[in-house]
Amino acid sequence: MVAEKSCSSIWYNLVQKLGFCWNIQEDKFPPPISDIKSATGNIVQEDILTDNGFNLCEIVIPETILEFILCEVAEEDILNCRLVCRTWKNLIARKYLWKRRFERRRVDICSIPASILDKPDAWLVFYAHLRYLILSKNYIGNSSGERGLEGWTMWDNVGRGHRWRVKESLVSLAATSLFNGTVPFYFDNLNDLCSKYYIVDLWREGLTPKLMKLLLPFRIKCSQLYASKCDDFDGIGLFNWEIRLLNSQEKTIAKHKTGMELPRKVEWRMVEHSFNFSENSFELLDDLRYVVFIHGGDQLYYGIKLAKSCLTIECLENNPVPDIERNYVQLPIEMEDGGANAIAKSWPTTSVHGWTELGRLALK
Amino acid sequence: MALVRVISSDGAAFLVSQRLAKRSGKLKTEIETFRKSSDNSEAQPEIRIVTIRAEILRLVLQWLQQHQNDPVLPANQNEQDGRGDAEMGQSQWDRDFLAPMDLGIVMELILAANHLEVKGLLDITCKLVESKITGRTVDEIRTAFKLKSDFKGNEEEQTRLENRWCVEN
Repeated sequence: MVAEKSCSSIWYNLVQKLGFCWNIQEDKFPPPISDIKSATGNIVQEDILTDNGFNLCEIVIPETILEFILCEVAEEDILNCRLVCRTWKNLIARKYLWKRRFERRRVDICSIPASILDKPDAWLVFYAHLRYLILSKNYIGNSSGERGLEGWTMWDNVGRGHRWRVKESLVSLAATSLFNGTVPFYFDNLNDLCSKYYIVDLWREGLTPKLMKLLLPFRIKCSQLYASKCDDFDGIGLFNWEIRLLNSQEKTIAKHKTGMELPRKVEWRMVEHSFNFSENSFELLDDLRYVVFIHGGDQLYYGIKLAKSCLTIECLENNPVPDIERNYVQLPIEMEDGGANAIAKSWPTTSVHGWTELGRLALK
Repeated sequence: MALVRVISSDGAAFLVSQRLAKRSGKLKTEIETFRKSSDNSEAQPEIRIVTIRAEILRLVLQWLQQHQNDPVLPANQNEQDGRGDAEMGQSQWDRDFLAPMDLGIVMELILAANHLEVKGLLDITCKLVESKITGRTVDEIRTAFKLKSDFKGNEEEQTRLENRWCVEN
């Protein structure tokens, strides 16, 4: 029995290394109890003595079966399973198990950069991506008005209520290559002073400080499509766009601000900004919690059209090169690109969602 | 009707049709091996399953009989077409079949389904085990599976701490 076990362990190791997938019903691979590897690749010596995690109700089941079962367990419960015993914990740290979990849920594991796959705590990233799709989703949940104005907070300083509405897009909009498919709606800003903002709580979205550190280097990439809406009049639209990164106390850590005048009949264009985080940003990430995505127009001008507000997380292969480095988050960063006064004038004076930063700014 | 004798580890013999037995990948192979090695094509194959006791073997055969007209799930079915196949195969009959079993029997059934290569049965039994994990606390899971914590020192606390890395504070 002992000889058989060690022999199969060699096979097992080979299979693990080569990344082959074996059939769960193949019984040529009894549980290689003696060589569970921890995520770091070190053999956990104690496991040689304790194979208790495979012993369910006094029946020793093969590792492949236990793995099969753990693949079925939902994300909500998998963290609990780590606490059951060492064997389970070690299994859940394995890249191989997560590969299968990804397959099971039809999520492409290629969304996780290769550089992360072999990190000791990579399971955290696997977990967060399967549960929250951290590396492929748009964190702005209602990016073009698909769900009306849900998630967006409006404000105005002229006491007439906000003047935002959602309009169904025309054919010309869907045809714009920037849209990459169809965007059936867009935000329409009536000719008035108004802005709106969307708060992304990164922690709640699964991007906890520990996780962000694991993802380094990465960037928070924001983009916005905009167009003038004064097709029929001679007029100028003003587009204001601002992204703020806040800490857990809702204080601004960094921001990017831009504003521009749009002459009549400006077709859809995209504005983009990335906040890059390198290994140097390590400490900063301990307390980066919110991103506030603000956009709007101005009353002195004709309105604007906005669609596809976008915030994504992208891992970078290398630490950002020097020419991007100027965008490194520093404390504090002020980028006044001009034209954004409308936003500065129009901060709401009340706290929203317990978020008071905008209110504080209004007083300045 | 061609029959085959399937004998459990504790010596109980079950006489089943070969057609039914062949729905187990393992028994199919055994029957074919027997055919090749036997001179007499009429001889009744006898297969000894040394790892499965009568009570469990009976359950497997019972399940096979109930599902004898189901399409055979390929043993090496890829995970790609996977999610949902356990649910797909799980009928009311299956639920009634599994309901009275205690988890120990279910674990034995898993081993048997794995050994005999009965994919459908393996799926529903694994699904049942998974359901004993879903929504349970750590202690409940340990109790259900008669598992003991083997964490040393503050290892469990450390693991709890790591879990908190994943969730909003």
